[in-house]
Amino acid sequence: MSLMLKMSWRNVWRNKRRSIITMAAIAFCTMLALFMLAYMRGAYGAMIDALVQANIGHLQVQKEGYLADRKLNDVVRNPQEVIDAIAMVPEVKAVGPRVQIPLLVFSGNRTAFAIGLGVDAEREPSISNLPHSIREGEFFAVDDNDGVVVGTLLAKNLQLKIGSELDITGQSAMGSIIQDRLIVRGFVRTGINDLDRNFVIIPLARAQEMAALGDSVHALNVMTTSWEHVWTMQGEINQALKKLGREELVALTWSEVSPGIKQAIQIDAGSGWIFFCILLVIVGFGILNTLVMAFLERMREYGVMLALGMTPGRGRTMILYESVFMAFPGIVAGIGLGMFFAWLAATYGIDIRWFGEGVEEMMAEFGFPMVIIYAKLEIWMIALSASLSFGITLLAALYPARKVSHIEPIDALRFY
Amino acid sequence: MKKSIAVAVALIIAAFTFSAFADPQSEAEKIIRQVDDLMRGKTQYAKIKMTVNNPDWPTPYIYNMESWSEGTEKAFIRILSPAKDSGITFLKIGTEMWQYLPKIDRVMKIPPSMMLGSWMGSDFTNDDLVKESSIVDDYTAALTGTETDGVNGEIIIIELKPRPEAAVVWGKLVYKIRQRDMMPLSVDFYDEDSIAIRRMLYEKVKTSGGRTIPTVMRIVPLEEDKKGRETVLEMTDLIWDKSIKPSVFSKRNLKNAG
Repeated sequence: MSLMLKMSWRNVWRNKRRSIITMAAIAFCTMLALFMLAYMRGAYGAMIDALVQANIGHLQVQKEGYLADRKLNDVVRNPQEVIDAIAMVPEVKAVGPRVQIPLLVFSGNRTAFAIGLGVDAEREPSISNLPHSIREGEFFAVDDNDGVVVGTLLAKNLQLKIGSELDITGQSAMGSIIQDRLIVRGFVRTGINDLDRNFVIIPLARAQEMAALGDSVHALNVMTTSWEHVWTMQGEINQALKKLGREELVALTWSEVSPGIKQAIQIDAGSGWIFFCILLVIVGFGILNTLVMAFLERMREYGVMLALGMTPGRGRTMILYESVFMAFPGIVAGIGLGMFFAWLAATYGIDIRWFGEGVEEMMAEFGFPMVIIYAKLEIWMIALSASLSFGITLLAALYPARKVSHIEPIDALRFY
Repeated sequence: MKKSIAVAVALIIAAFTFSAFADPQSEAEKIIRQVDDLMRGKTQYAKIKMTVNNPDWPTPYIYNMESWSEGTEKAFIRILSPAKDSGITFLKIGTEMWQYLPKIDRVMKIPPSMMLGSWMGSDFTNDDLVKESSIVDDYTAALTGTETDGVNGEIIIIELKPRPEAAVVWGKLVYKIRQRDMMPLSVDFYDEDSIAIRRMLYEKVKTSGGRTIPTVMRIVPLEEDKKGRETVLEMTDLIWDKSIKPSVFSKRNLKNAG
């Protein structure tokens, strides 16, 4: 057996150029797989982060049932004690209130539907990036009860200017008619068109007053260290709510609050995986090609060996050993290169505008606000891309390995 | 032989008895017309206190308003209190309805899509205010029975079914009317699947503006998810059949501060 190993090893290095081309193909396959995984992971993470930070938080505490019907009456009463209790849960970084009221907004003779989002100007910077996403004007100050911040696309539809009046109507939680007039302080662009087209951000106290909510709110946004940790946090927060005796409240993760984003990612990841598989098949054929070329080049050699008494089975083993010997350095190099490029993409990012004009707009329509995508490399990706490459190489080697056992020595000797 | 004569006599008597109620349908329609005329008048002015109770709210919501109406065709309502809502006005002409919001100085037409929405959080819909349908013209009435209770004595039960061509939202109305003075006691509203949706109760019969009518109307939704809700209208300072200036029912009047 060790003879076979030794011979295979020598065979690999007998024609360095040929072997190195095969290794390069394997390396390329590994690198591509690794880089794509890191890129997709980075892009989806950014997408989730964007939505989480723009509006919904890592988790939301709501009254049970609010999510389904969004009834104005399904409120978190006495939010302060709940905020205090949640803030005590380890890993919770910030908690802040949200009021959400469906509204009709007017400016001049233009009208639009909008979601009135009541936020606490003091807490908001710690729970969302809305205050940091102002394109024009400014976010309303803590003591400003008359201001309103409008999404850029909505502002455009209504032809608003900083300082213009925004008239609002709707129905309060008690069914009475909302009629209010606010002053536009700023325009916010989250990059998620769905939000930028529908948002009017209102000072919390004003929103509670117009919607007849008292001091109640519709949701408490909870920020933790990362969107990946929310599933364990959910249990802990529910525990804390129970301990407080507020069993009518539930903690929901970002994917429960906004199932749309998970679906969007699943759809995109679906097409991503198909693309990924097609690439791997193409690269797999590249590897197959180099192996077959090598096989044909060595036809005479196999003929001689078979004529000297090598069994077909040993020939098969030899080819498989050779491909394994080429796979290892290829995979190691591929992982090295893949990690390097992933690191570059993680550090400097990939500007999606390189892909063409208007890509930014298209992505915003899908709820993706990033212009620069940063890759994210994780251990499992290395394991996955290495095993994929290894599998593909072995699969490609099966063909010449099978072939060698069917060679007629006489034909092979006369091959050229 | 004697026996058969007796049977014949009995039959004849029975026939006469039924002919006394000759046409139960027209009889029922007569009663309904009477009730309708009583409650509506040619014109009506009233001060109305509307209390909306909802178990989800810490306190009931109480509106005070003034209302002018002319038959089923025209109506004008002005909210007097609470302060937050005062000055909101509603104008109804035919099947159209407008509202004026003073704080944003805007007249808005209520779109057809909102007609079945709640009116200011009450258990009335916008459609209730706007509907031109009259219980006399759009429904056929039939006497379906009587009952008796200790307080009201004999009670007539009349069922109203919409005429095929009538554009109404209800499938059936069941009126209970006190025989003694033809005062309405209650109406049950059924949808097209004969499911009871709400009940209107008429209470506190009083003489106001020279007419004796129930001055309190209580709407109780009967649907499960609206349990505990209730809207009470109390009418005072009624003036009947006094001609109302046409300018009252104009869009210009919406913006008048009253």
